[in-house]
Amino acid sequence: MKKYIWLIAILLLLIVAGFILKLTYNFVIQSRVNIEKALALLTEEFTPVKMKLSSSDGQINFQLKFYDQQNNNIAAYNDSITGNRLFVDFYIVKIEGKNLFFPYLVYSDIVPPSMGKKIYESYEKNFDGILFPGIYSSDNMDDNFMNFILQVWKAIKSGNIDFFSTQYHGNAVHLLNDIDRIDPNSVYSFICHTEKGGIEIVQQ
Amino acid sequence: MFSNKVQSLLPILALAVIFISFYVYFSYIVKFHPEKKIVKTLYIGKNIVIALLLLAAIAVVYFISINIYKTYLTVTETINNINEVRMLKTFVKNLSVQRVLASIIITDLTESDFEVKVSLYTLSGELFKSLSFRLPGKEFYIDFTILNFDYLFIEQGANNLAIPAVLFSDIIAYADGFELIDESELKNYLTADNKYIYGLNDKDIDAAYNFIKKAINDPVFAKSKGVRSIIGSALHHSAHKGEVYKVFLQNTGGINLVTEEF
Repeated sequence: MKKYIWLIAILLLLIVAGFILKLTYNFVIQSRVNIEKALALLTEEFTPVKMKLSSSDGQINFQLKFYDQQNNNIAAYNDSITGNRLFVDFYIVKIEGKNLFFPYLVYSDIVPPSMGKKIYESYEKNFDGILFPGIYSSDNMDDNFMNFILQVWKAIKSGNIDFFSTQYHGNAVHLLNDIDRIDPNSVYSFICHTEKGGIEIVQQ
Repeated sequence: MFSNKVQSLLPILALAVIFISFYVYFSYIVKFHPEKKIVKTLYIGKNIVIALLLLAAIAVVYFISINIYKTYLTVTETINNINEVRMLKTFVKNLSVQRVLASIIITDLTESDFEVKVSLYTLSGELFKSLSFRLPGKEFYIDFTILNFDYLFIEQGANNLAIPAVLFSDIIAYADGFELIDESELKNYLTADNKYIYGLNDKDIDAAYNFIKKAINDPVFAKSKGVRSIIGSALHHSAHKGEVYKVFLQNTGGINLVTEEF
Protein backbone atom coordinates (compact mmCIF):
# COMPACT_ATOMS: atom_id res chain seq x y z
CA MET A 1 0.00 0.00 0.00
CA LYS A 2 2.90 2.28 0.93
CA LYS A 3 4.27 1.72 -2.56
CA TYR A 4 1.04 3.12 -4.05
CA ILE A 5 1.02 6.18 -1.75
CA TRP A 6 4.39 7.22 -3.06
CA LEU A 7 3.18 6.71 -6.58
CA ILE A 8 0.10 8.89 -5.96
CA ALA A 9 2.27 11.54 -4.30
CA ILE A 10 4.61 11.62 -7.30
CA LEU A 11 1.62 11.79 -9.63
CA LEU A 12 0.14 14.71 -7.66
CA LEU A 13 3.49 16.49 -7.70
CA LEU A 14 3.70 16.02 -11.46
CA ILE A 15 0.20 17.47 -11.90
CA VAL A 16 1.06 20.52 -9.73
CA ALA A 17 4.37 21.01 -11.57
CA GLY A 18 2.54 20.79 -14.92
CA PHE A 19 -0.01 23.34 -13.77
CA ILE A 20 2.73 25.74 -12.61
CA LEU A 21 4.60 25.25 -15.89
CA LYS A 22 1.46 25.98 -17.90
CA LEU A 23 0.84 29.20 -15.91
CA THR A 24 4.47 30.30 -16.35
CA TYR A 25 4.33 29.48 -20.05
CA ASN A 26 1.18 31.59 -20.51
CA PHE A 27 2.78 34.48 -18.60
CA VAL A 28 5.98 34.31 -20.66
CA ILE A 29 4.07 34.10 -23.93
CA GLN A 30 1.88 37.07 -22.96
CA SER A 31 4.75 39.27 -21.81
CA ARG A 32 7.03 38.34 -24.72
CA VAL A 33 6.26 41.02 -27.25
CA ASN A 34 7.64 41.20 -30.74
CA ILE A 35 8.35 44.93 -30.70
CA GLU A 36 9.27 45.21 -34.39
CA LYS A 37 6.06 43.48 -35.41
CA ALA A 38 4.04 45.74 -33.11
CA LEU A 39 5.74 48.93 -34.34
CA ALA A 40 5.05 47.95 -37.95
CA LEU A 41 1.33 48.43 -37.27
CA LEU A 42 1.78 52.10 -36.38
CA THR A 43 0.84 54.67 -39.01
CA GLU A 44 3.24 57.46 -39.99
CA GLU A 45 0.92 60.10 -38.55
CA PHE A 46 -2.42 60.02 -36.76
CA THR A 47 -4.84 62.32 -34.95
CA PRO A 48 -5.69 60.99 -31.49
CA VAL A 49 -7.50 64.14 -30.35
CA LYS A 50 -9.44 67.11 -31.74
CA MET A 51 -10.37 70.26 -29.84
CA LYS A 52 -12.93 73.07 -29.78
CA LEU A 53 -12.51 76.15 -27.56
CA SER A 54 -14.73 78.94 -26.30
CA SER A 55 -14.57 81.39 -23.41
CA SER A 56 -16.82 82.70 -20.65
CA ASP A 57 -16.06 84.70 -17.48
CA GLY A 58 -12.27 84.35 -17.78
CA GLN A 59 -12.58 80.60 -18.26
CA ILE A 60 -11.53 78.49 -21.22
CA ASN A 61 -14.28 76.03 -22.09
CA PHE A 62 -12.76 73.12 -23.96
CA GLN A 63 -14.18 70.11 -25.73
CA LEU A 64 -11.80 67.27 -26.51
CA LYS A 65 -12.76 64.34 -28.72
CA PHE A 66 -10.56 61.26 -28.90
CA TYR A 67 -10.13 59.08 -32.00
CA ASP A 68 -8.78 55.59 -32.60
CA GLN A 69 -6.31 54.59 -35.30
CA GLN A 70 -9.12 54.40 -37.87
CA ASN A 71 -10.33 57.89 -37.04
CA ASN A 72 -13.46 56.72 -35.18
CA ASN A 73 -14.57 58.91 -32.30
CA ILE A 74 -14.17 56.82 -29.14
CA ALA A 75 -14.50 59.29 -26.24
CA ALA A 76 -14.98 62.93 -25.26
CA TYR A 77 -13.89 65.17 -22.40
CA ASN A 78 -15.55 68.54 -21.77
CA ASP A 79 -14.44 70.90 -19.02
CA SER A 80 -13.27 74.46 -18.30
CA ILE A 81 -10.14 75.99 -16.79
CA THR A 82 -8.99 79.50 -15.80
CA GLY A 83 -6.69 81.22 -18.31
CA ASN A 84 -6.17 82.54 -21.83
CA ARG A 85 -4.35 79.67 -23.55
CA LEU A 86 -4.98 75.96 -23.23
CA PHE A 87 -2.08 73.50 -23.09
CA VAL A 88 -2.71 69.88 -24.08
CA ASP A 89 0.13 67.78 -22.73
CA PHE A 90 1.26 64.51 -24.33
CA TYR A 91 3.56 61.77 -23.07
CA ILE A 92 5.89 60.73 -25.89
CA VAL A 93 7.81 57.48 -25.63
CA LYS A 94 10.43 56.63 -28.25
CA ILE A 95 10.99 52.95 -28.89
CA GLU A 96 13.29 51.69 -31.64
CA GLY A 97 13.00 54.89 -33.65
CA LYS A 98 9.22 55.24 -33.41
CA ASN A 99 7.23 57.46 -31.08
CA LEU A 100 4.10 56.65 -29.12
CA PHE A 101 1.83 59.53 -28.04
CA PHE A 102 -0.50 59.64 -25.04
CA PRO A 103 -2.46 62.84 -24.27
CA TYR A 104 -2.66 62.90 -20.47
CA LEU A 105 -3.00 66.42 -19.02
CA VAL A 106 -4.65 69.77 -19.67
CA TYR A 107 -3.65 73.07 -18.07
CA SER A 108 -3.38 76.74 -19.03
CA ASP A 109 -1.01 79.70 -19.14
CA ILE A 110 -2.19 80.59 -15.61
CA VAL A 111 -2.71 77.13 -14.14
CA PRO A 112 0.64 75.30 -13.72
CA PRO A 113 1.03 71.67 -14.88
CA SER A 114 0.98 70.36 -11.30
CA MET A 115 -2.60 71.65 -10.98
CA GLY A 116 -3.72 70.48 -14.42
CA LYS A 117 -6.61 68.17 -15.25
CA LYS A 118 -5.83 64.54 -16.08
CA ILE A 119 -7.51 63.40 -19.29
CA TYR A 120 -5.97 60.00 -20.01
CA GLU A 121 -8.61 57.97 -18.22
CA SER A 122 -11.32 59.35 -20.49
CA TYR A 123 -10.05 57.40 -23.52
CA GLU A 124 -9.28 54.16 -21.70
CA LYS A 125 -11.32 51.29 -23.13
CA ASN A 126 -12.20 48.07 -21.37
CA PHE A 127 -11.24 45.04 -23.49
CA ASP A 128 -12.30 41.93 -21.53
CA GLY A 129 -11.25 43.48 -18.24
CA ILE A 130 -8.05 45.03 -19.63
CA LEU A 131 -7.88 48.83 -19.65
CA PHE A 132 -6.42 49.78 -23.02
CA PRO A 133 -5.71 53.29 -24.40
CA GLY A 134 -8.45 53.51 -27.05
CA ILE A 135 -6.47 55.91 -29.26
CA TYR A 136 -4.32 52.92 -30.29
CA SER A 137 -7.17 50.53 -30.98
CA SER A 138 -7.98 49.43 -34.52
CA ASP A 139 -9.63 46.51 -36.31
CA ASN A 140 -6.31 45.07 -37.44
CA MET A 141 -4.52 45.10 -34.06
CA ASP A 142 -3.42 41.69 -32.80
CA ASP A 143 -2.57 40.35 -29.33
CA ASN A 144 1.10 41.21 -29.82
CA PHE A 145 0.33 44.87 -30.59
CA MET A 146 -2.14 45.05 -27.70
CA ASN A 147 0.37 43.64 -25.21
CA PHE A 148 3.05 46.01 -26.44
CA ILE A 149 0.87 49.12 -26.04
CA LEU A 150 -0.39 47.84 -22.68
CA GLN A 151 3.13 47.52 -21.30
CA VAL A 152 3.95 51.12 -22.22
CA TRP A 153 0.58 52.30 -20.94
CA LYS A 154 1.01 50.58 -17.57
CA ALA A 155 4.53 52.03 -17.22
CA ILE A 156 3.21 55.56 -17.85
CA LYS A 157 0.31 55.20 -15.44
CA SER A 158 2.47 53.79 -12.68
CA GLY A 159 5.08 56.55 -13.15
CA ASN A 160 7.76 53.95 -13.98
CA ILE A 161 8.40 54.92 -17.57
CA ASP A 162 12.07 55.50 -16.64
CA PHE A 163 12.50 51.75 -16.28
CA PHE A 164 10.85 51.09 -19.63
CA SER A 165 12.61 53.54 -21.91
CA THR A 166 15.14 56.29 -21.38
CA GLN A 167 13.87 58.15 -24.45
CA TYR A 168 10.66 59.73 -23.29
CA HIS A 169 9.51 63.27 -22.70
CA GLY A 170 6.41 65.43 -22.56
CA ASN A 171 5.19 67.94 -25.11
CA ALA A 172 2.49 70.44 -24.14
CA VAL A 173 1.19 72.01 -27.33
CA HIS A 174 -0.90 75.17 -27.45
CA LEU A 175 -2.28 77.80 -29.82
CA LEU A 176 -0.53 81.17 -29.83
CA ASN A 177 -3.73 83.20 -29.91
CA ASP A 178 -5.48 84.08 -26.68
CA ILE A 179 -8.90 82.55 -26.18
CA ASP A 180 -10.79 85.77 -27.08
CA ARG A 181 -9.25 85.62 -30.60
CA ILE A 182 -10.31 82.04 -31.25
CA ASP A 183 -13.41 81.20 -33.26
CA PRO A 184 -15.60 78.94 -31.07
CA ASN A 185 -16.70 77.03 -34.18
CA SER A 186 -13.18 76.12 -35.25
CA VAL A 187 -11.98 72.54 -34.81
CA TYR A 188 -8.28 71.94 -34.17
CA SER A 189 -6.65 68.58 -34.89
CA PHE A 190 -3.58 67.37 -33.02
CA ILE A 191 -1.49 65.55 -35.60
CA CYS A 192 1.16 63.24 -34.14
CA HIS A 193 4.18 62.24 -36.25
CA THR A 194 5.21 58.71 -35.30
CA GLU A 195 8.57 58.83 -37.09
CA LYS A 196 9.70 62.32 -36.03
CA GLY A 197 8.09 62.61 -32.62
CA GLY A 198 6.54 66.03 -33.20
CA ILE A 199 2.97 67.22 -32.67
CA GLU A 200 1.16 69.85 -34.72
CA ILE A 201 -2.14 71.63 -34.24
CA VAL A 202 -3.91 72.17 -37.55
CA GLN A 203 -7.19 74.06 -37.92
CA GLN A 204 -9.70 72.07 -39.96
CA MET B 1 -15.24 104.62 -51.68
CA PHE B 2 -16.94 102.34 -54.22
CA SER B 3 -16.72 98.61 -54.47
CA ASN B 4 -14.71 97.19 -57.40
CA LYS B 5 -17.84 96.09 -59.25
CA VAL B 6 -19.43 99.57 -59.03
CA GLN B 7 -16.15 101.18 -60.10
CA SER B 8 -15.91 99.06 -63.24
CA LEU B 9 -19.52 99.99 -64.14
CA LEU B 10 -18.97 103.75 -63.75
CA PRO B 11 -17.42 104.41 -67.22
CA ILE B 12 -20.31 102.55 -68.89
CA LEU B 13 -22.86 104.53 -66.82
CA ALA B 14 -21.12 107.82 -67.69
CA LEU B 15 -21.20 107.02 -71.44
CA ALA B 16 -24.85 105.97 -71.19
CA VAL B 17 -25.77 109.30 -69.50
CA ILE B 18 -23.91 111.25 -72.27
CA PHE B 19 -25.68 109.43 -75.13
CA ILE B 20 -29.10 109.76 -73.47
CA SER B 21 -28.44 113.53 -73.13
CA PHE B 22 -27.62 113.76 -76.89
CA TYR B 23 -30.76 111.84 -77.79
CA VAL B 24 -33.04 114.06 -75.61
CA TYR B 25 -31.41 117.29 -76.89
CA PHE B 26 -31.67 116.46 -80.65
CA SER B 27 -35.21 115.10 -80.21
CA TYR B 28 -36.19 118.40 -78.62
CA ILE B 29 -34.75 120.73 -81.34
CA VAL B 30 -36.12 118.66 -84.21
CA LYS B 31 -39.59 118.49 -82.70
CA PHE B 32 -40.22 122.03 -81.34
CA HIS B 33 -37.99 124.63 -83.15
CA PRO B 34 -38.81 126.35 -86.49
CA GLU B 35 -36.25 125.64 -89.28
CA LYS B 36 -34.56 129.10 -89.11
CA LYS B 37 -33.69 128.65 -85.49
CA ILE B 38 -32.25 125.19 -86.00
CA VAL B 39 -28.95 126.45 -87.41
CA LYS B 40 -28.34 128.69 -84.41
CA THR B 41 -29.49 126.01 -82.05
CA LEU B 42 -27.29 123.46 -83.84
CA TYR B 43 -24.33 125.84 -83.45
CA ILE B 44 -24.97 126.05 -79.69
CA GLY B 45 -25.65 122.35 -79.73
CA LYS B 46 -22.33 121.71 -81.47
CA ASN B 47 -20.46 123.49 -78.68
CA ILE B 48 -22.42 121.61 -76.08
CA VAL B 49 -21.65 118.33 -77.88
CA ILE B 50 -17.95 119.20 -77.97
CA ALA B 51 -18.03 120.07 -74.27
CA LEU B 52 -19.89 116.88 -73.46
CA LEU B 53 -17.49 114.82 -75.57
CA LEU B 54 -14.60 116.47 -73.77
CA LEU B 55 -16.17 115.65 -70.41
CA ALA B 56 -16.80 112.09 -71.57
CA ALA B 57 -13.19 111.79 -72.72
CA ILE B 58 -11.96 113.11 -69.35
CA ALA B 59 -14.25 110.66 -67.56
CA VAL B 60 -13.06 107.75 -69.69
CA VAL B 61 -9.38 108.72 -69.22
CA TYR B 62 -10.01 109.08 -65.46
CA PHE B 63 -11.54 105.64 -65.15
CA ILE B 64 -8.87 104.05 -67.37
CA SER B 65 -6.17 105.69 -65.18
CA ILE B 66 -7.80 104.33 -62.01
CA ASN B 67 -7.93 100.83 -63.47
CA ILE B 68 -4.31 101.04 -64.70
CA TYR B 69 -3.22 102.17 -61.21
CA LYS B 70 -5.16 99.34 -59.57
CA THR B 71 -3.59 96.84 -61.98
CA TYR B 72 -0.17 98.29 -61.16
CA LEU B 73 -0.83 97.84 -57.41
CA THR B 74 -1.96 94.24 -57.91
CA VAL B 75 1.07 93.41 -60.06
CA THR B 76 3.46 95.07 -57.56
CA GLU B 77 1.87 93.18 -54.65
CA THR B 78 2.14 89.90 -56.54
CA ILE B 79 5.82 90.55 -57.32
CA ASN B 80 6.46 91.45 -53.66
CA ASN B 81 4.72 88.29 -52.52
CA ILE B 82 6.77 86.17 -54.90
CA ASN B 83 9.97 87.85 -53.68
CA GLU B 84 8.94 87.40 -50.03
CA VAL B 85 8.27 83.70 -50.50
CA ARG B 86 11.46 83.30 -52.57
CA MET B 87 13.55 84.96 -49.83
CA LEU B 88 11.93 82.92 -47.10
CA LYS B 89 12.45 79.73 -49.09
CA THR B 90 16.14 80.55 -49.46
CA PHE B 91 16.30 81.48 -45.77
CA VAL B 92 14.90 78.21 -44.52
CA LYS B 93 16.43 76.08 -47.27
CA ASN B 94 19.93 76.97 -46.14
CA LEU B 95 19.33 75.61 -42.67
CA SER B 96 20.25 72.00 -42.00
CA VAL B 97 17.48 69.40 -41.94
CA GLN B 98 17.76 68.50 -38.24
CA ARG B 99 19.03 71.22 -35.94
CA VAL B 100 19.82 71.49 -32.24
CA LEU B 101 17.80 74.40 -30.88
CA ALA B 102 18.77 74.22 -27.22
CA SER B 103 20.57 72.17 -24.64
CA ILE B 104 19.45 71.96 -21.03
CA ILE B 105 21.69 70.88 -18.14
CA ILE B 106 20.44 70.38 -14.59
CA THR B 107 23.26 71.82 -12.50
CA ASP B 108 21.63 71.50 -9.07
CA LEU B 109 18.66 69.62 -7.68
CA THR B 110 17.04 69.77 -4.22
CA GLU B 111 13.79 68.43 -2.76
CA SER B 112 11.89 71.58 -3.71
CA ASP B 113 13.70 73.21 -6.65
CA PHE B 114 16.40 72.84 -9.29
CA GLU B 115 18.92 74.95 -11.17
CA VAL B 116 19.00 74.72 -14.92
CA LYS B 117 21.45 76.04 -17.52
CA VAL B 118 19.84 76.67 -20.88
CA SER B 119 22.00 77.17 -23.98
CA LEU B 120 20.24 78.48 -27.07
CA TYR B 121 21.64 77.88 -30.54
CA THR B 122 21.18 79.95 -33.66
CA LEU B 123 19.49 78.54 -36.72
CA SER B 124 22.78 77.26 -38.10
CA GLY B 125 23.77 75.64 -34.80
CA GLU B 126 26.10 78.23 -33.22
CA LEU B 127 25.72 79.15 -29.55
CA PHE B 128 23.53 82.26 -29.26
CA LYS B 129 23.41 82.66 -25.49
CA SER B 130 23.44 80.72 -22.22
CA LEU B 131 21.20 81.44 -19.25
CA SER B 132 20.87 79.98 -15.74
CA PHE B 133 17.67 79.82 -13.73
CA ARG B 134 16.53 78.37 -10.41
CA LEU B 135 12.98 77.04 -10.61
CA PRO B 136 10.73 75.51 -7.95
CA GLY B 137 9.44 72.04 -8.84
CA LYS B 138 10.76 68.79 -10.22
CA GLU B 139 10.24 69.16 -13.96
CA PHE B 140 11.43 71.77 -16.49
CA TYR B 141 9.29 73.01 -19.40
CA ILE B 142 10.90 74.76 -22.38
CA ASP B 143 8.46 76.39 -24.79
CA PHE B 144 9.09 77.16 -28.49
CA THR B 145 7.10 78.98 -31.13
CA ILE B 146 6.99 76.77 -34.22
CA LEU B 147 6.17 77.63 -37.82
CA ASN B 148 5.33 74.52 -39.82
CA PHE B 149 5.36 75.10 -43.55
CA ASP B 150 3.08 73.40 -46.05
CA TYR B 151 4.20 69.92 -47.09
CA LEU B 152 4.64 71.17 -50.67
CA PHE B 153 7.00 73.83 -49.37
CA ILE B 154 8.96 71.23 -47.39
CA GLU B 155 9.11 68.84 -50.36
CA GLN B 156 10.86 71.66 -52.20
CA GLY B 157 13.56 71.65 -49.52
CA ALA B 158 12.31 74.17 -46.95
CA ASN B 159 12.55 73.63 -43.18
CA ASN B 160 10.24 74.40 -40.32
CA LEU B 161 11.24 77.19 -37.95
CA ALA B 162 11.30 77.15 -34.14
CA ILE B 163 12.01 80.11 -31.87
CA PRO B 164 12.69 79.72 -28.10
CA ALA B 165 9.97 81.40 -26.04
CA VAL B 166 9.45 80.64 -22.32
CA LEU B 167 10.98 78.47 -19.57
CA PHE B 168 8.69 77.33 -16.76
CA SER B 169 8.21 74.37 -14.42
CA ASP B 170 5.55 72.01 -13.08
CA ILE B 171 4.96 74.49 -10.23
CA ILE B 172 5.47 77.78 -12.12
CA ALA B 173 2.79 78.54 -14.72
CA TYR B 174 3.66 79.57 -18.28
CA ALA B 175 2.53 83.15 -17.62
CA ASP B 176 4.97 83.41 -14.69
CA GLY B 177 7.86 81.77 -16.57
CA PHE B 178 11.08 83.29 -17.91
CA GLU B 179 11.15 84.74 -21.40
CA LEU B 180 14.10 83.20 -23.27
CA ILE B 181 14.25 85.60 -26.22
CA ASP B 182 12.52 88.97 -26.07
CA GLU B 183 11.21 91.07 -28.96
CA SER B 184 14.45 93.08 -29.30
CA GLU B 185 16.57 89.89 -29.47
CA LEU B 186 14.40 88.09 -32.00
CA LYS B 187 15.93 89.74 -35.06
CA ASN B 188 19.45 89.10 -33.75
CA TYR B 189 18.52 85.48 -33.13
CA LEU B 190 17.15 84.97 -36.63
CA THR B 191 19.96 86.82 -38.37
CA ALA B 192 22.90 86.09 -36.06
CA ASP B 193 24.48 83.72 -38.52
CA ASN B 194 23.43 85.19 -41.84
CA LYS B 195 26.95 84.61 -43.12
CA TYR B 196 25.93 80.97 -43.38
CA ILE B 197 22.70 81.75 -45.15
CA TYR B 198 23.94 82.01 -48.68
CA GLY B 199 22.11 83.82 -51.42
CA LEU B 200 20.54 86.52 -49.25
CA ASN B 201 21.72 90.04 -48.55
CA ASP B 202 20.88 92.12 -45.43
CA LYS B 203 17.77 93.53 -47.10
CA ASP B 204 16.51 90.04 -47.88
CA ILE B 205 17.20 88.92 -44.30
CA ASP B 206 15.19 91.92 -43.05
CA ALA B 207 12.32 90.95 -45.34
CA ALA B 208 12.44 87.34 -44.11
CA TYR B 209 12.48 88.57 -40.49
CA ASN B 210 9.48 90.84 -41.13
CA PHE B 211 7.67 87.96 -42.79
CA ILE B 212 8.29 85.65 -39.80
CA LYS B 213 7.21 88.33 -37.31
CA LYS B 214 4.03 89.05 -39.23
CA ALA B 215 3.29 85.35 -39.65
CA ILE B 216 3.57 84.80 -35.87
CA ASN B 217 1.16 87.63 -35.09
CA ASP B 218 -1.28 87.11 -37.95
CA PRO B 219 -2.38 83.49 -38.54
CA VAL B 220 -4.55 84.43 -41.54
CA PHE B 221 -1.57 86.09 -43.27
CA ALA B 222 0.61 83.08 -42.36
CA LYS B 223 -1.83 80.59 -43.85
CA SER B 224 -2.07 82.58 -47.08
CA LYS B 225 1.75 82.42 -47.39
CA GLY B 226 2.14 78.66 -47.06
CA VAL B 227 2.54 78.31 -43.28
CA ARG B 228 0.49 75.23 -42.38
CA SER B 229 0.40 75.88 -38.63
CA ILE B 230 1.90 78.14 -35.97
CA ILE B 231 1.85 76.70 -32.49
CA GLY B 232 3.56 76.76 -29.13
CA SER B 233 5.27 73.55 -28.06
CA ALA B 234 6.49 73.17 -24.47
CA LEU B 235 8.83 70.19 -24.16
CA HIS B 236 9.37 68.87 -20.68
CA HIS B 237 11.20 66.27 -18.65
CA SER B 238 11.76 65.49 -14.99
CA ALA B 239 14.97 67.10 -13.74
CA HIS B 240 17.88 64.72 -13.07
CA LYS B 241 21.09 66.27 -11.80
CA GLY B 242 23.94 66.29 -14.33
CA GLU B 243 21.78 65.04 -17.19
CA VAL B 244 21.91 66.83 -20.56
CA TYR B 245 18.77 67.24 -22.67
CA LYS B 246 18.81 68.48 -26.24
CA VAL B 247 15.96 69.97 -28.25
CA PHE B 248 15.94 69.08 -31.95
CA LEU B 249 13.89 70.58 -34.75
CA GLN B 250 12.80 68.04 -37.32
CA ASN B 251 12.14 68.99 -40.91
CA THR B 252 8.63 67.56 -40.98
CA GLY B 253 7.09 66.96 -37.60
CA GLY B 254 7.91 69.66 -35.09
CA ILE B 255 10.44 69.44 -32.28
CA ASN B 256 11.49 66.80 -29.79
CA LEU B 257 13.60 66.39 -26.69
CA VAL B 258 16.37 63.83 -26.46
CA THR B 259 18.22 62.83 -23.30
CA GLU B 260 21.90 62.72 -24.18
CA GLU B 261 23.43 59.35 -23.49
CA PHE B 262 27.05 59.04 -22.50
